[in-house]
Amino acid sequence: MSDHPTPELIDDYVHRALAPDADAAVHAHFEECSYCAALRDDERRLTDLLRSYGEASERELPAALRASILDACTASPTAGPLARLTETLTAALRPLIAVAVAAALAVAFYTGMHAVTVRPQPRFEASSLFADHAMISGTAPFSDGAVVPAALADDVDQ
Amino acid sequence: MGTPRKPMEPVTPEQRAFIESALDRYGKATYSYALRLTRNEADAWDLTQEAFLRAMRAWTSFRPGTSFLSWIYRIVTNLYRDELRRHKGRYMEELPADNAPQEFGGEKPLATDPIGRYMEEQLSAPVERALAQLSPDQRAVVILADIEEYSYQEIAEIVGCSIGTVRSRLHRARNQLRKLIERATAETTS
Repeated sequence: MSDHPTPELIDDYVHRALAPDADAAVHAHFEECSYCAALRDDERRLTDLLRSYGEASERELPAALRASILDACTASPTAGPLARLTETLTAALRPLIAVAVAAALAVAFYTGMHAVTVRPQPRFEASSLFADHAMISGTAPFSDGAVVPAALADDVDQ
Repeated sequence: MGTPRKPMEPVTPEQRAFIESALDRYGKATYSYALRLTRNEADAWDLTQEAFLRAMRAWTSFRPGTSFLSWIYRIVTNLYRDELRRHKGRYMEELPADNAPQEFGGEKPLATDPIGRYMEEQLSAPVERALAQLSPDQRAVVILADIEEYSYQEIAEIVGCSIGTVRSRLHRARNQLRKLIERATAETTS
């Protein structure tokens, strides 16, 4: 290999992910190129650091968690044919149920709004108009039941 | 995580033996992997429990002769990703606010001497902080490639992406890690 390997190729080399011929070519390049060999060592150091962290961060499975998993396993359903069928049906019907519930809510909302808007509250008390009317008709001079003044009696007769 | 439902069919003795054996052999590795992903004992607990429950429910789909660990890691990774989608940013909020190294829970595998443990923690603290700053997908790939030593092909199967994606994700993550670790180390020494 005459060209320097790319950083990705060095990564792959460190992770032993190269095909045998490519691996051999990169390996041969490291023999003659100290710059690339230093990059490879740098990658290896990072890998070593990560492995050390991996060892340091390893934890035993807590006994309480193990017991909890076993308890939950005993209480958990197995995926039998009936259970699978029920789950499939439930999953399939779920959108239909959601649509039906949404439609019912929409109808209920519309009905409620309609009831509020169709029957408006009176803005004033209409009975006062009748009372006023009765009062005016009782005192108005030209109404049917009004007393005709004497000065006008002749005109009326004519 | 989902809570176990009420029993519909009893767990067979074979199933119980299967899950007990899996817990004995792979419980530690699975819990450690979940801890490294979530960086949080409570979430790792839930993730491990749910993963083993899923494994038990689907135990008939496990093919003997294949790696159980890869299978359970795939379940853990998928659950973790689902949980992140469901509660976007939840895990990010649990980063230590003071940038202090986060204590892992669980039980130490060996009774190490205090000085050795102190040295170990001092060395791994910058790495842990740097890993916490990677995206969840990048962190998973780095953990699987560099700590668990899986091949690109195996990682692609566990994570559910192409080998090319694993390669580019790993390369970007390692570049970022290098810078973050250098910065963290410089801050510690200054």
